[in-house]
Amino acid sequence: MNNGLVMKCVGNNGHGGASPRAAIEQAIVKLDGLRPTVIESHPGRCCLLAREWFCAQSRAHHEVSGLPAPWLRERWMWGPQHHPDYWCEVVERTTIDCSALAALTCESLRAIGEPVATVQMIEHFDPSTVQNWAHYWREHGGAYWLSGSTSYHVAVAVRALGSPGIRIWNPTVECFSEQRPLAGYGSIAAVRMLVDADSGLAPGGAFAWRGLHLRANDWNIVSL
Amino acid sequence: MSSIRVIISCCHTGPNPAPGLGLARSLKAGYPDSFLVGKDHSTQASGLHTEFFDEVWVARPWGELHLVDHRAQIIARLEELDGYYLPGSDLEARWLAEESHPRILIPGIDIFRRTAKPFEKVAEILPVRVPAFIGLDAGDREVYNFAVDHGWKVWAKGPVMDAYRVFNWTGIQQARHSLAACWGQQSFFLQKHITGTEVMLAFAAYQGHLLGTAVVDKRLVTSEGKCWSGEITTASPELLNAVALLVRELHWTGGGELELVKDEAGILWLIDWNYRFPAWIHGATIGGINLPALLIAAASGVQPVPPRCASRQFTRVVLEIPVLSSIPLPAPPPAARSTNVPSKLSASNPSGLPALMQRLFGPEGREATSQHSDRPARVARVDSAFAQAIREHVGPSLQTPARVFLPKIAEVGFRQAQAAAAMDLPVRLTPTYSVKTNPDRRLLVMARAHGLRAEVISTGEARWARELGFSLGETIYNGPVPLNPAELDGEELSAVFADSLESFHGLCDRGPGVAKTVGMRLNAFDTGSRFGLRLGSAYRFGIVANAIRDRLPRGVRFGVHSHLQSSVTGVAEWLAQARAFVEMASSLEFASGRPIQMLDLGGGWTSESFGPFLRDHLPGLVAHVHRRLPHVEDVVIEPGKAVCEQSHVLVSRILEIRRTDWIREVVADACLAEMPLAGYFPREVYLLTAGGNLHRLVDGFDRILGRVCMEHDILAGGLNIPPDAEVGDWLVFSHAGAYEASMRYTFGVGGFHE
Ligand SMILES: [Zn+2]
Repeated sequence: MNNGLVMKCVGNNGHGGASPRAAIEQAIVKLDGLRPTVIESHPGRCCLLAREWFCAQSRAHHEVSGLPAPWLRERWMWGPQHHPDYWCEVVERTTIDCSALAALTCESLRAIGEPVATVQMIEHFDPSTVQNWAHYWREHGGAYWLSGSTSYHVAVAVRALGSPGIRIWNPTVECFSEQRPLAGYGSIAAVRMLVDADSGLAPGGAFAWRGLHLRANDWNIVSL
Repeated sequence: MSSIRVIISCCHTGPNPAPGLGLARSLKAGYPDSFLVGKDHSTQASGLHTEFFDEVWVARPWGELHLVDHRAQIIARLEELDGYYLPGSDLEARWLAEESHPRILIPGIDIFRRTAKPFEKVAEILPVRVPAFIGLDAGDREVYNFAVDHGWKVWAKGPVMDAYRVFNWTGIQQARHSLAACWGQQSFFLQKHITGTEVMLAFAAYQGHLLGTAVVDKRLVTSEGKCWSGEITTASPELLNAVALLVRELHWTGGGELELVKDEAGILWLIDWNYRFPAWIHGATIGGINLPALLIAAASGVQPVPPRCASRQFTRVVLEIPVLSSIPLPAPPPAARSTNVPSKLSASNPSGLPALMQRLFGPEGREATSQHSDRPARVARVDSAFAQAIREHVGPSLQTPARVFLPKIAEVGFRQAQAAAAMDLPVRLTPTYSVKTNPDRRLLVMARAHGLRAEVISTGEARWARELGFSLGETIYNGPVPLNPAELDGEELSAVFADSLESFHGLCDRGPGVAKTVGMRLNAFDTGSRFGLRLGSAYRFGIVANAIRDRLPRGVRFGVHSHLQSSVTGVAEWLAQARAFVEMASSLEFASGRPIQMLDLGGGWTSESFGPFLRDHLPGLVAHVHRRLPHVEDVVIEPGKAVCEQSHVLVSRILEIRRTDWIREVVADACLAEMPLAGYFPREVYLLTAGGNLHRLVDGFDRILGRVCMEHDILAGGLNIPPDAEVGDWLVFSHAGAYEASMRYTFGVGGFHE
């Protein structure tokens, strides 16, 4: 009967019988080794020009549209890609994955002097969605970023103006994650903010998000 | 029969639904055995066909009703039912409030007057602000300047409802026309658009006591911006207290909705105010806040079933349901029927509410102001220096139409530019006069006398400027025409800016000696402008940076130029664009390795915005340029319109005065040939009578028609032409000294002598 689609009846959590928490812990074990994208530079002028253009665009867009500028998602579609990335290649691509998009977003925010950090996330979907993504990525490394009914995703942390915590900007869907669900389809299951001690985003190695006190550089299960 | 009986009106549910169905569902949730009558004015009102109504009442569309009798029908039915009435539209509530009835749960008529748009009085109580506004009768030039000051992010709004987003002067005129068609001679206004997050707050109150509130956070909206799905939240304690205070102050009874926008700084702005429950009201009931039931409970004393929160989130769905056989759909409309109706209401509501609006407020309505002849003309102040100048230059010997130069007024803008150049700035400021705007000899002489340099777009203009005393060494040449230095006898220019990479290569290939500064015009950032070099891709950026690095001769200074019309973008947007241009320039400097020594910011200010710009924004911008581009030695600005648009007036005479239904039109002996931009921006219009009275014409619906047989030859509208105007009187149009002068043409005056 379970064909992989979300069923409405109470009790089905899409984890194939495992408890939601156990499924998230299982995902953390599998996805723990994933590292955020670092866009590299060739030694010649190609990457210098590409990166300088990107930073100029970021600063100029910031002047005319404020934060967070919508130009990244207007320029790059989301989809599978090969790694690693070089600046002169990434500016020519039309499609990049969430990790590269988060790396560009970080660079864009640094260009305007905003403190920023990469946030790795584990999100809950359902087996059918995850299976489809695995097919989509078949020629680009396969299901390395998927586990059970969950997927790996990359976003960025920025200062929350007027409050001590952070906000998580999801550049792929262009929304802040503060109002995203913490249970059900498309919910956030766990977050790990990768941050330097001096960024100011996680004083004392901890940070506040949605009223939760979370550890920096460590997975935090936030699922309800 | 149930003890709770309610007549609910406005039951249509479409992409822009009325609240009737939501009210019925909420009341059924609170009072499962209630008896609900759904009332509307068309069998097409889709909510009537749902199972939530125990009875349906289809009245004739609003345009066909005898309104006094219909009110009596409502009250009779209410008394027969011993029930309550909940109207679903502001207009119906407004109409019913004129003769209140205790069982019609609406605010009193005085509330409609005390909370009239644009809500300044409401904002005195609520912790909200009201976006800046100006009456559309304040004078066209003032309205235009308001729009320019707010970057054309403005709405034209009616007195009770109807709002049109406008983007240019033509849009304002169209909106004024549409508003007048619906509302007659009422007061309309132009209001600043606020960017931010919408906050919609619904409330219920009974005799000044606040019963409850709910806020919806929209998640999906229709193309009209109506809520399709959302999450129910609560108002901040501060807002809640203020709404309670306001409701008490106004002795409010009924539902209501505040439409607010929260900007980036967290400030709440009041955008709209509704005198009934919103259409999303059942979303609040799903979220555990049943405001309609609270209202009925307060009125009847019968307690409802306590609400249960099924989910804080709700969504709308589209369902096909059977039409009730007792109220079948009418015949389809004829295929060719026009849908060009001037109100947003009409497209979404089959009950003909716009007709009620017109009957209440329109030209025929009781509330409309009286007819033209009785209407006192608003008196607009006439500047005394201007009046003196007009009386000096306009008289019986003047052959009209005539463009008249006003030297004392012309000098004002040049003096402003001169003073700006003398300011203590970290970088030298070089104002240049944009010759193309008006190459009139007198203006060029005046520009030179005030220390301005010349900015030209052709070698012909450069030679003309040289003839009038500008050396080429103090002249800046801009494209798009590639410069041919041979046409300037090999004399060196101050600066030349290429409009294309091809043109830049050509200038570089000529080596030093063409101009002290050779530069390029950059495409205005992300605007789709046709001008300048585009840097929208890394590839193009690399090519341009390499061209500067590899081809620009040594010993030649490098400069960049960008131009956007401030009068089109507004000052705030112009400043943001200027800063974006500085950022692109800064990266180009880094990537090319050639220091930028001249930065040309272009022009495009209106005469009214130029002075405030120089005073309030230019020093900060120049300091910013100095920080980001430390090698810049000259910041160039190119005022054209700003310094010359008020230098001339166009003087015309009245050929004929016509009276149509309720407006007056005069035919002038000028036309579009003398004022080619008549439709694009407004000017001040004055009437000088034979007796020497000078009136500024504002605040009305009258028009000045041009002399030629072209449909669009309308020189001005929105005026009130005084009754003492006569054939032969002079009409004086201000702001005729810029492109109006340089782009004029000969038309409709006879043949050509080749
Ligand atoms: Zn490279």
